[in-house]
Amino acid sequence: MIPKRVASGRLRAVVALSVALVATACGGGNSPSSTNSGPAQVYKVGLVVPVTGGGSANADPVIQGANLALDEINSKHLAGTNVKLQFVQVDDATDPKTAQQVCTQLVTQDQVVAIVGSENTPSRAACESAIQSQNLPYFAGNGTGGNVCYSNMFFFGIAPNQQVSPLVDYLTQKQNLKKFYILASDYAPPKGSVAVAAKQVPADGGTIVATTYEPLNTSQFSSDVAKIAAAQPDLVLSGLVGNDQIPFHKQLGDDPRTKSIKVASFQMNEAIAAAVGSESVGVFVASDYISGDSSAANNAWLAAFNKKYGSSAKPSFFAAETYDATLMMAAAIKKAGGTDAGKVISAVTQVSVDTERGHIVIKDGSHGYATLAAHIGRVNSNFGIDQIDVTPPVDPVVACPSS
Amino acid sequence: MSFFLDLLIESSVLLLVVLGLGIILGLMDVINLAQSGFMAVGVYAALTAAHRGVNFWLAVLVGAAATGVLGLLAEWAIIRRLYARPLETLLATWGISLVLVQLISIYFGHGPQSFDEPFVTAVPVLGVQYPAYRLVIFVAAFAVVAVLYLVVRFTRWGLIARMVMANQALAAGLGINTVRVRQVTFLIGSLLAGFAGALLGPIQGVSPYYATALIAPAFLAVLLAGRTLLGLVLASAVLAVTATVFSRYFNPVYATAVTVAVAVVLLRLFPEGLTRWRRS
Repeated sequence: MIPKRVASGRLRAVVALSVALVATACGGGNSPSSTNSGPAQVYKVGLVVPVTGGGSANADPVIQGANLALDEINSKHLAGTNVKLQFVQVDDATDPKTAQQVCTQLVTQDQVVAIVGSENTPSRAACESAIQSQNLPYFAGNGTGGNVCYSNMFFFGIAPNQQVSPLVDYLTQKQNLKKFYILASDYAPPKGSVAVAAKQVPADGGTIVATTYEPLNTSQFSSDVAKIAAAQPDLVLSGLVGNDQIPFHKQLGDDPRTKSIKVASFQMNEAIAAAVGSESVGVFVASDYISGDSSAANNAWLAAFNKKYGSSAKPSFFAAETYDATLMMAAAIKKAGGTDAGKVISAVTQVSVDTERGHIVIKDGSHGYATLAAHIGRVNSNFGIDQIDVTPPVDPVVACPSS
Repeated sequence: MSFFLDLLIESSVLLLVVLGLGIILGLMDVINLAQSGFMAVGVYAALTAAHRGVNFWLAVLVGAAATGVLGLLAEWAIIRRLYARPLETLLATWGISLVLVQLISIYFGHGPQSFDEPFVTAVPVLGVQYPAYRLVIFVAAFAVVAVLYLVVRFTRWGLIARMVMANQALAAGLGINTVRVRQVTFLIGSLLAGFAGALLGPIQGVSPYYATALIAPAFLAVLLAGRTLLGLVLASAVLAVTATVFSRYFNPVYATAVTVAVAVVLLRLFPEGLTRWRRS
């Protein structure tokens, strides 16, 4: 049941935004009758970020990417109108209960028209339970294990097949690495990636000598290092997440038995590489975004990013995913001609954006997952990631519980 | 032989974390939930000093000192007023930890920090090549335990501390300044927490939520220890060996649960601690 004040507030938002967007579409950016007259009409968009808690390490790039996109939307895409989008940023504390509370607040108090978020799986599910009654569109600036599907949720991070398959192809065919040891966090997204690797490695002529899972927040990896030393694989395929990667790479690289074994990671980014230090140099990475991509689009994006954030800029894949999610949100609202949730959700598969990651589109039948290219990279001696290969856009393979 | 060394190092890592907790609990009856916050302060102070060109070992001492000062401040401002109220002490120390973590996040950011080891080399030990820095951790843990034993056993301060621990009221009646003893104890516990945090930083992931993975087994070890130094050593060894063996030969995902189960069984068998059966 939608509260009356929420419903009336939304109706006013829909009418005003529709007028502004129609005026813009008609080239009426300068139309005196409906634009640039009076103060800007501000529409709120929820930005849900784990600023505290275990997921907080990713908060800064997410916030930076989202706000860079918002600046672009307000200054370019909504230029000439008297409409502005504004983020209402909330902290889910990497906790589902908090996520539900803050998302409820976004709906009932802030009356947001959409949500952009970068939460972990349990928190995102909790937020979804809070917004489901309103069917608010949720634009997720991260990926999943490929088995999370909601009709109102759209994912701009990588699905396992978009990352793992290209990475394994590259490692087996171009690096001639055949014997794999897989170590991953006991958590849904890495498990989804491991499931894809378990099929792809033998398909590419390789063998998996062992697969081990460690709980989240593990900091002691001596057992794993010992097992890897005993197995002597060609490569360790790491699905460890977050800061767990740091002690693992350090402990693996420090041990004389394992320091020469090559490593590939699903989750390594520039910040983690810098924190690991010299032990991260040479690690293979597969991601939907690598800052070392030398394309013109990425160079322009990096220039804008660094100009806005200076020395505190963190243009990692978290930033890129949330940036793209925010742009797609605005494109969908524009296509829908307003902020009506149902229309915006329907419009998502009819729009696309061209960003630092290339042409971003969500196709019909993809269960809300973006089609993305895979970028293969390698950590360099400055702890940046050099891009060494990139695939054409790969459609996501998603196993929805209801499909 | 590498496996034996791994067991030794894992036990040393846990022991370093446990020592500060055990000292404070043993002498002050205070369960210091600020331990992880203190360890975070230690490592961040150390890496700040190291990034400014200070020698690594000096930076570790800087980390310990910074945490010691913080501990003194916390004891004077908050803990001292709550000695007779153990539940409030729990809450207060937990609150201190939350504040410290948030202050670190505000100043340093949420992302991970780099803290390099002073050397990345392996040395031959018992017929195998083993990472040298990890051996340093064992040596440090052994040295700290040795120093604490000598101080407690052979110094005047140690005698006073044992008197206060045995019967605080009687000690006060004999003219011992129990407030000062508690203050010094909290200082030592904080110093040890900062030292552990700084020393373990190069092999851990440094972030505002530093060492949270080590705190739960550390508290289990303190409960098992029975408020003796030998108990702390034994408890750390038992829990670290259990976790490492189970991770190595069975399933790491269940290693934590098995460790807790072992701790529960041992507490049932030795309710006064692992070393108390000798007295009874």
